[in-house]
Amino acid sequence: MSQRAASVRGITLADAWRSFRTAIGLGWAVEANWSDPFLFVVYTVAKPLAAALILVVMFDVITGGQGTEFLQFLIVGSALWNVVFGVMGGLVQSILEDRERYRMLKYIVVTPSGLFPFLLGRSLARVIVSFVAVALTLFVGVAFLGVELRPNLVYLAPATLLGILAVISLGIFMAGWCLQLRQEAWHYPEAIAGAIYLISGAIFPIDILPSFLHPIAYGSPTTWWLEASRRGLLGHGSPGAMGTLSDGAVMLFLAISTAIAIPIGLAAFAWFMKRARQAGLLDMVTGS
Amino acid sequence: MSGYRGTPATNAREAAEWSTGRVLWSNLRAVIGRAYPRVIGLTREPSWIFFEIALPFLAVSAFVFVYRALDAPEEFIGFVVLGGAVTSFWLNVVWMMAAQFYWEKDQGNLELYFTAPMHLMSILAGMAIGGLVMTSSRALAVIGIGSILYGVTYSIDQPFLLAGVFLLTMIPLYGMGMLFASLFLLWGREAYHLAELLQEPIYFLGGVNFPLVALPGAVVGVVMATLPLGVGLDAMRQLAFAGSGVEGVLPVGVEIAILAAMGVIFLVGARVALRYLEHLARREGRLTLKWQ
Amino acid sequence: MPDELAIQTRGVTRVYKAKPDPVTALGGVDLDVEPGEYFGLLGPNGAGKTTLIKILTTLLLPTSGTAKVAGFDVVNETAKIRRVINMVSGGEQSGYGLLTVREQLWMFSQFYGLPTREGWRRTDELIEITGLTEQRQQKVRSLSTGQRQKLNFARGLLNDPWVLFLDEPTLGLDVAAARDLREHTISWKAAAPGRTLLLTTHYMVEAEQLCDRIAIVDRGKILALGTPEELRRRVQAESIFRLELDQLPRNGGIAGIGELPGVLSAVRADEELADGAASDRVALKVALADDSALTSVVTAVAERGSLLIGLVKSEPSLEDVFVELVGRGFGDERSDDGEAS
Repeated sequence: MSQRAASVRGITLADAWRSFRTAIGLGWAVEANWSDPFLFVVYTVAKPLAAALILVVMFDVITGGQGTEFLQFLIVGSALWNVVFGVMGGLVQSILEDRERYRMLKYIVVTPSGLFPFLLGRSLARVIVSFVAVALTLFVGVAFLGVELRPNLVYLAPATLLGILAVISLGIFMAGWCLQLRQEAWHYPEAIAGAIYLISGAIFPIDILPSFLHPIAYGSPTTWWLEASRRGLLGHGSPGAMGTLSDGAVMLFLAISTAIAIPIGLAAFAWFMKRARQAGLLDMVTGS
Repeated sequence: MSGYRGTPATNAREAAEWSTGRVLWSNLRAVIGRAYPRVIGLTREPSWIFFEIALPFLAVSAFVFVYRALDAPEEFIGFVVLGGAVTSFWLNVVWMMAAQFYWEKDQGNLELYFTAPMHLMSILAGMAIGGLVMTSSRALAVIGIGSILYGVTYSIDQPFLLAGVFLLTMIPLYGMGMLFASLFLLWGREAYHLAELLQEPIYFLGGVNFPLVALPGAVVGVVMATLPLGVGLDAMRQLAFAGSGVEGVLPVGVEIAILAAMGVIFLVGARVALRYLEHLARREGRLTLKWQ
Repeated sequence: MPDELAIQTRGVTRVYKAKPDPVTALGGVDLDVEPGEYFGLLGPNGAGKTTLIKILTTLLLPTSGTAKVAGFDVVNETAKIRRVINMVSGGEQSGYGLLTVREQLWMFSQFYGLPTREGWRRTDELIEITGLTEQRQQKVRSLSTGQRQKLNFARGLLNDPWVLFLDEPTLGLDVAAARDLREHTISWKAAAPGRTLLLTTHYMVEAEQLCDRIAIVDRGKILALGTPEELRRRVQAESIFRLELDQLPRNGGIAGIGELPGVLSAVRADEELADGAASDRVALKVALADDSALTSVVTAVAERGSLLIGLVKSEPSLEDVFVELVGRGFGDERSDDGEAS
């Protein structure tokens, strides 16, 4: 294939792949280097488990342990939420770290492949750690809390792929947005994740939300991804209205919402980057 | 008169002799000085209003809806709202003190703080106070909007005691933050993950979203001995929802005594830890090495 | 006590733990700096200059030896030292980008315990003195490198320090900005007699211009110490002048010049004439025991019928001194780079 044919808007795919691949290694080095191994393990285990246990205790306090279907709903939702926050937080953290701490961002931007492949690769390590958190939470749920998994890989695999694409789109949007902020935005992904937590049916059925929030909830790809994942893992859907939909319908809605989210995320990122270049934000250092 | 001459002392030795009063005033001024950029930052970057108030409120709402889904008694909604409000201060402690202190090292400010005559605790206090505007706004928004929106009914028999317990909780909480500020520098190569590590586990142990009595006795015992957030929240719930039927771990009076003791221990501990950190930093050269 | 040294070190060493082997950044430094003296540490990267400054500014403990600033021990009396010192480093990016120049300086004045109004007053004075008046309301993050360093320098003077440490203060600055900063430093000396400056640099011009005495440092040791003149004399004891004349002196010519009192030697050096010089021009190289002998040489040249067209003093640079001492130049990095400089 000629170089002209292989290039996309002046960037060759080889450049992009090289940058992506290198950034994965870099991302892992950064991700694994922030403390000693013991603390790293504690972080990887304690954080997701604590998040799940909060919900388990809330459940136990009220129901006395009755109603395992809802508990399974909670555990799976809480487990998968690690991916949402991990991806989104990872992308935002990468971009802010590289700008503010390592002062690398401007050097990456001026490379042929630009920032996008680098950002994806750089954040991949966090994505991997979040899947470890998913596995851990599900394991604890199965081993100690009576969660029964009935994985349907044929359903789960495409659902997971679509879900990750959707979440990455969201993360890319957030990363571009946080780049505009002149004050440190390190904890903003968590704030956004909290909002999405509310509307995605992660830990309670959508029906519980006030009705004016239902369109937002049903429009979010994370809602459909969580529902599809529950079906793929548990063999049944959520309590409430969503549970009445067929597996096919859920997958279709996931595909549609993801297909909408991806171009929006990419276009927004491109616009945010342009704005950042105009405003000279790519090498700005903030701090308060 | 030349702008260069500011001090009346005739030699360096004389200039170095400060009275106790001057030392105290200088540290107080340092608190104000460090709080200044944080407060000014609020006016120059107003996006915090959205991120620090609206969105955290939504996160608290998620737990409210979990209880609604479980048909929980209404006082549990109040527990979540109160817990979410107090969490704001914990987040201030973790992110705007402990983690921020670490980031100051990266910026090169920590070196300047070490060579300046004020105590590091003044800098940390300044950071915390500077963040209090944002933090208090967040807490008030959660309590105010949450209580109205979700129909939380408070039963407060002793409002001044409740206010006192809240203020008393803040002392060991911020002392703990100062302690963590030094531990962040000692333990890790960056602050973000460490700060994250201190969120959900602390929310769980502190009973932010559920009464602390729901946890196993041994865990509760550890919390009562170590976590001002848990102790304070338990006491505040007993006072804010008196007669709710959900008991606290210990009587309020005992929890007040624990908080007072924690206040002393954490502040003294913070002072010792910061001094040790400084000594270690000077001995190992850690302040002057960026990525150690 | 007025007679106390501003800075005193005895046998100061500093060893960093490093892999595979520990790095000795300082290997026993003895230094005495008098109050009111401007003292320079000159040496290449990795010489140990910054390590020494970090020890003296209480950021680092010495591994062994003692060091005192204003008579206070750097290990045990840090609080007192910090009240009377300040430091400015080159390339410093400290502070908060969202504050204005004026706010940033005021904030730092509070860290030194200045009362609020006094802090604003000194801030405004120093802004004017360092030429940042137009930038006073500008956010720090939008300052150029030179402006940023002026701001850092102003910060360094806020508390009217008795000992000011400048660690490569002109690093990364252009010629004009560096010159400005040196002029501010000289002005400070005039305005604040009795204040001491310790400057580290690898720019010889800076050391010669600012410092009363200089220590040449390499690999953690002081190789030579003295005034710039004394240091140059180590390499070249005599003063060498190159004279350009319109013609050979009469009555004994060059040999006659060589016999004058104070003249060690006089040789012809026409190869040093510029290309295109008139064919009868003559260049002489005279070595004098002392600069004062120059007067008799110039007088003799005139009396012997020659016109003095050009006169240049040929002096070794401090780098020549360094090369003489170490056997390599500033730019020749050592192979075993340690962590500290």
